[in-house]
Amino acid sequence: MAETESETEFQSADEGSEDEATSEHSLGESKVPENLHNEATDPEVNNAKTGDAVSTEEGLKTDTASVYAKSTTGNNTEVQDVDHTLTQMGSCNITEDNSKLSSKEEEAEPSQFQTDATLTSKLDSGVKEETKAEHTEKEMSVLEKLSGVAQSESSQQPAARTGWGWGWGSSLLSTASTSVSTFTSQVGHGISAVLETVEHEMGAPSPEQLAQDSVAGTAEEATADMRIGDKKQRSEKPVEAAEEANEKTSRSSGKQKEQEQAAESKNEAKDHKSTGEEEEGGGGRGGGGGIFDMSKGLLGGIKLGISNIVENTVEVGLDALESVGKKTWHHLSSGDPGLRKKRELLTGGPKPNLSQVLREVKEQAEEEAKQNAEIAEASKGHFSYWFDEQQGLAHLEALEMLSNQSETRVQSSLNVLPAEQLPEFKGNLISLRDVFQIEDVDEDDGENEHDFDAALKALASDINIVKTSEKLLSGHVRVRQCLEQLGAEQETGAAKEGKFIHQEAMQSIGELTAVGMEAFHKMGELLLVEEEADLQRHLDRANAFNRLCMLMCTEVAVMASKFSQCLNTAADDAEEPELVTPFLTNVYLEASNSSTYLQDGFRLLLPVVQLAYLQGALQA
Amino acid sequence: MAAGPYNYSYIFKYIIIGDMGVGKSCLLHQFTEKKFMADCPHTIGVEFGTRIIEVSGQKIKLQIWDTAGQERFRAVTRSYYRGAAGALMVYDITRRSTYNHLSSWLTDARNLTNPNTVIFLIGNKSDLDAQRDVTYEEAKQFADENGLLFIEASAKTGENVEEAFLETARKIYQNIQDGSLDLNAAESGVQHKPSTARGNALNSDQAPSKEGCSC
Repeated sequence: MAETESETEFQSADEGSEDEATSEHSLGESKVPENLHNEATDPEVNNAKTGDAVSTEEGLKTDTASVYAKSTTGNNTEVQDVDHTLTQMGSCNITEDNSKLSSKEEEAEPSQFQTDATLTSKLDSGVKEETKAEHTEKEMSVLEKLSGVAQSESSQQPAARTGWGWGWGSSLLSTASTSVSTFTSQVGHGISAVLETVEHEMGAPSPEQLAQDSVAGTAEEATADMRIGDKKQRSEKPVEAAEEANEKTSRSSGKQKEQEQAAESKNEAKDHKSTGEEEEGGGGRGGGGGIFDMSKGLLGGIKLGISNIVENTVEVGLDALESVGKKTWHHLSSGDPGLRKKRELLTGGPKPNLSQVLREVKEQAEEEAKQNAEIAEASKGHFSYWFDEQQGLAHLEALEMLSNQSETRVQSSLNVLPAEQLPEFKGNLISLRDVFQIEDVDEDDGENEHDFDAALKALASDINIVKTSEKLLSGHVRVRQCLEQLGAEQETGAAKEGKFIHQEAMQSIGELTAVGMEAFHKMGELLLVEEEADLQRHLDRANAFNRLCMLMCTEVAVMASKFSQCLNTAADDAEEPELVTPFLTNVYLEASNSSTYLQDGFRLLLPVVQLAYLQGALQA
Repeated sequence: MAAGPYNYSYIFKYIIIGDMGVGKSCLLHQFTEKKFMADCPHTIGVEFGTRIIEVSGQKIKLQIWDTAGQERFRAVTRSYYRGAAGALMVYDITRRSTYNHLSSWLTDARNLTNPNTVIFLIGNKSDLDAQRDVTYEEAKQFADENGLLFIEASAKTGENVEEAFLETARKIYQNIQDGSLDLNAAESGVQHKPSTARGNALNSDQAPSKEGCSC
């Protein structure tokens, strides 16, 4: 039995040293993000400090492994199983401890909490060559810290602990922790391997130096942290015990081992007692004597392992999150300090202030007013403006409606006519249509002055346009006076410029065309209420309309010609004659438009005349 | 002949109907010229008036068709209802006969315009209250029964003339805003113009292009 036990002890010890390597890796793993972080945030890295923390952890790992192994051998039925798990847990504990310690340091001296990549490298390379003396020294401090952790852990979960039986409870826990720790160490392996090579190249300091640094570091810590300080005092005694334990493992003596173990577990128990009263109470119920002590240590180890695993997981997760966050921030803020552009993008661009908005509105309003004035001014240079101003367009539209309506009614009237009367009426309607054929207007007519007044008066006798003829006549007179005035001014040298003459021309032509359109419209309306039955009368009237249309077109052509002469004279006087040319062209163009309007109006009268004849004839 | 600011967003076509002598042309003249025409000649067929008003910040050109009230022109004036956005139906409060004929005018208005045309009933000559022949209440009731807007006005004093024309425009504009009046419909009586509108209003098919003008 004793032999097997010693063998297992050896095994466990071996495992412990193996785990050392793995824990190293896992340690490295957990360290990496921290290092990166610290380096990034603070260039003044406290090398000595971090070195302390890490190196002590290194030592701890191996020690805990052996210690736990001893404590379990020979006393428990599940010794081997637990042993194995414990050693693994021990290795895992160390990895956790790294973060634990650093967090402790942070509490004590947040400003000094710095880690460095070079330190990790030192640790990695140093672990294997570390002497036992160093181990023991470090062991103690680490053990203290571990017990501290266990204590705080246990104080947090007293109910759970007391409820569990020692046998199955611990094995269950240990099995769970084994799988988790294995996983952690395996993952860490790859990263630490990479780190090792890099760190070797960088020339890391010797592990001995690191160990010395760690002692100094612990002293510093002690001043800051009362609890840690307490443990340091005690750590002197366990040094011997730990040394003994190492010797015993080589000697593989069962008895000594037992004693050793008892001393170790007592030592642990003391630690527990001094730091955590609750655990004491809980443990007391479990059992008495050596078993009690041993189980206490075992329990503490298990608890420690679990809590460390949990913390490791959380820590690693947080580190990963942190690095992801940092990377994200750097990526987002590259070339965009303060994320100003991104913020603008999200908030919909920079918001202009009120005064700016008001200024813009004012400018807009001014521009609009200016544009309105320009439009009003520019529109006066258009024929269509004057034509519409005199309701020429409205009369044209009304005449169109009247014409369309008349056409429909002519058709419906023809449909209800007796078949024998149809040819006669159709023939008459066609003869009326013939009168509405317009001869091609001779463009040269403008050259020949005509007596508009006399021609209009002659027409007025044929058609009932008393009112509109007055309008036509007055419009004509106004234009002639305007032209005379322009001619007189040009003779006296007080000539108006081209633009003014052009506007006058547009007004004259537009107004005359509008009055002509009104005349056609009114004549059409009056025709429909006359009820004239005589076909010849209708034919005469249609003829008169035709002549009126021709007269109007000729009048417009003459006016255009006269205004052109004025413009030519103005161009001769002007400094830049080429500016007048567009005005000249436009006068002729609009005169042509005017003729088109008038002829359209005249043609629209055809259905009206036809309907008037039909109505009169059918009534008679 | 005054030019004034010449850009507007809409053109509304109004038509004024009613018996002869009720004061249709005088109402129009009062609205466009702010003057009372004492001896107004009989209207032949139809006459026109325009004025640019503003409704809800939009400049609107009212193109008003003032029809002849004489019975002999009735056939002619019927041709002009089509495409009116608003119809002002006028009677003379001192002559009951003009009020009695309203149903006939209303029938024409309903039949010859589109369903969304706003019809406004105006009892003219409200300044002659002593000779009143039609009470406000019965006319109001008639208007309510037929879904008409109603007001009593005086072309002589100008009382409520402005209101009648503007209220009609507001109602039409409201119909445009709530979508009940489709501007794309051929006979909506409303022409929408871009704000860069030029002086010429209705460009009929016959109107030749003015694009050649280079000035």
